[in-house]
Amino acid sequence: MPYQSLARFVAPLGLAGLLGAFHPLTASPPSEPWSDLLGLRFSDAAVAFRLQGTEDRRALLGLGLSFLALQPRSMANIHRAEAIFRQLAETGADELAIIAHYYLGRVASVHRDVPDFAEAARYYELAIDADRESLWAHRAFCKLVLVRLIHVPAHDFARLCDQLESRAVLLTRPGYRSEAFRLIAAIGAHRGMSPHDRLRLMLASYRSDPSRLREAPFALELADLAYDTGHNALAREYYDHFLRIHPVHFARSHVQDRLATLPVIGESTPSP
Amino acid sequence: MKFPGYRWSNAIAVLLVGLAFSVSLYHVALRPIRETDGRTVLRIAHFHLHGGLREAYDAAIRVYEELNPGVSVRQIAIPIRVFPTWQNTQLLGNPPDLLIISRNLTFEQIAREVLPITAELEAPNPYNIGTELEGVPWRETFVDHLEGGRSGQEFEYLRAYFSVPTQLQSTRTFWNMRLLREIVGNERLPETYEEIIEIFEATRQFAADRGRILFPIAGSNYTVGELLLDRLFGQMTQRLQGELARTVHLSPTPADLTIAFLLDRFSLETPEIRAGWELIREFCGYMQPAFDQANRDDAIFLFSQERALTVVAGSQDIESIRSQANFPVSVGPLPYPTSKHPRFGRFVVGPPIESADGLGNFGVMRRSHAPEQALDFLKFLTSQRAAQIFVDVGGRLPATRGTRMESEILRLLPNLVGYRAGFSPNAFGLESRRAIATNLNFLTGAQGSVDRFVAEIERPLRESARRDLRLHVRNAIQTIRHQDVQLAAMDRIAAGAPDEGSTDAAFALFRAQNTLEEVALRSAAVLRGEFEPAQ
Repeated sequence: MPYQSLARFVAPLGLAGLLGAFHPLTASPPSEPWSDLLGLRFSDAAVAFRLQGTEDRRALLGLGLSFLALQPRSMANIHRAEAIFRQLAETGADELAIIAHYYLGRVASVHRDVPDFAEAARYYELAIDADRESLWAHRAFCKLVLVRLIHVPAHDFARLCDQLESRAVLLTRPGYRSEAFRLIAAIGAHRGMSPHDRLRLMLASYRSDPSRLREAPFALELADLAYDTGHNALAREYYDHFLRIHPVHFARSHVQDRLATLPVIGESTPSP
Repeated sequence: MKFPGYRWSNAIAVLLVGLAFSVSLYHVALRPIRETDGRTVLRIAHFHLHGGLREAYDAAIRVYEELNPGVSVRQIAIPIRVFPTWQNTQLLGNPPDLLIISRNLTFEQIAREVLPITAELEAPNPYNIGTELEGVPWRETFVDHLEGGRSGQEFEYLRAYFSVPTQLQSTRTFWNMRLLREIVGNERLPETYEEIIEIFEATRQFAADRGRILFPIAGSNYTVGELLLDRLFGQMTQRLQGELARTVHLSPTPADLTIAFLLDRFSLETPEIRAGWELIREFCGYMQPAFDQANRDDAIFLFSQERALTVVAGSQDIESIRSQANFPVSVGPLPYPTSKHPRFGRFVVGPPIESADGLGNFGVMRRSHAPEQALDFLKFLTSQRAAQIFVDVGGRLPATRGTRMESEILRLLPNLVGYRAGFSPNAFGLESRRAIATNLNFLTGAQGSVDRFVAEIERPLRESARRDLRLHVRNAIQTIRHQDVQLAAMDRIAAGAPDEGSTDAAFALFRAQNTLEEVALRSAAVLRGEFEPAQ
């Protein structure tokens, strides 16, 4: 009997010890909650944002974002996040309201189990209209390109591309303008856009942010499109650039082969 | 004297529970983070139990401890079969300071648990001082500049580097040189598919003439997956891949390939794909019966028993193959068809480039109690000096440039000059791999044929491809959701302390998210039947 009693006493302790081995020794102390969010420590972040109180709009945004990511994921938490973003969007006209509109768009497009892309597009448009200079308006425009161009019926695709391209020209932050042009070209590649149009968009992207040529996929796409459309000088320029900055890359031999087929000098290059 | 109700089983139960409790207590509370002499303890966890590797780690650790007397490094070597489970329990509890980043870790887990080292990679590795790599950015000290392999994938996906390789992995043919000389009269290893088939035919004849049980190649499920479906088949689809990608030089993602299949941009009857099946059927005809039921170790055993002339294995197997074999072993290349091959040549662009796949990619854990020291050890582990130890003691393929190697090890080095490899339907994902594996007998069996296999697999593969695409979407959306939150956090942190670096990082993350989201939304639209490719 004493052994059985001892076993009954020790067994839960042993089990607790085993479970303890798989869990952190102590809960992390409340730290800088934005760093917690960045480190994907969502529950720590939620606790810390709650402690900051709901009067603080920044903390409220943080709490909404924590709900968006809390694990295990639940629709109840997504709805809580949505309610917070809606409150932020409707009760102010500051940058936080723009961010809230952006995240309402994100909820509608990727956080809900059943996405509503039309609703997402509406929120992105609201974020853009609130302040076109804002960083979040620029981000919203890129997301608008994604949800609209992927889902638009084929017969309306070209018209929508033109419309979004003319709006992209007006973006004031060069990096995001570049990204918007690139996204239109990327989706266009899967929806029958001509190589000439894709080259025009990729060149617009490059000219908006020349630093993108450092990215191997970007440089290769630009060079290939120039090659395919007969803009030999451009193709040579971008292929050469690629070989210079990527001394080890799976595409090197292909690129060298293509360079060997390009006329060396004196050929005229039509302007795209 | 006995207690009332005493039973031995009760005593054993109490002892077991007590033991479990003690072990748990040790793990939770008493595990040292400092030696009694005050040295910082670093724990490095991996599954490298192959011959010579643990000794190589020990040797490298000894040198590091001499250079850093305040540090003590302990290696935790876990068998590969239980490593994923062990790793997951560690991630829930108290992870080691450095962890091998296996394929079982998702990109999301990596982003959450492992420290990014992108900035550090642009500065020189101090442990390379006095070598030809002195002053060279750490990233460029690796043979592939981290453009490919696991680290490259992480970078493409997360726009940040989280791990670096300590050694490389390649797949090669290993030859019984005594048998080769007996069969063909010389020891020249075949370089191409055409040459290897000639030797295989001679081997068959040799075995038949002497009534010997000898197979040209010891096959296994590894041979079929790693060599045939992932590599030789890929040689047939080099051109097709270029046509399916957005531009000829870009690599389509697995989701893009699956979409192309589901939207009938290619089928199992497309000439390139059909050639791939034909290649597999031909090659498997030289393996022992029931090869698909054998694993890699079985194949190596058959080879070491001199029942097979050659075996396909990974570079990490070289020491165990050599130790088991009672005959001279040489390393040969994989037998790719050339453009001159009468049936397969028209699909070949050129010799395929091999990804410099890191076998021992290590990352510093965010929850390390000494992350700076752990990073310092990682720098040492990838220095030219440590790489040399891994070559000399462990017979490993170094991931660091400029390491001296014997000629056999040199032959294991991945080919980094060549043309991008193509794909096989295995690339769609795990479900498709399974569908192909379970139907392979219709292709390679005595009654099998390409026509029969294609007829049998068309429907299951299409269903599997849809399941794989669903999985791609689910994984991508999970990552995108977390990236959403990280973006806002980066923005807020940057707003609090303006820092060009964090703004750049946020923008890079945003662009990576867009790339992922474009594929995910398009894939989801395809699955819903709502994607219209063109007017």
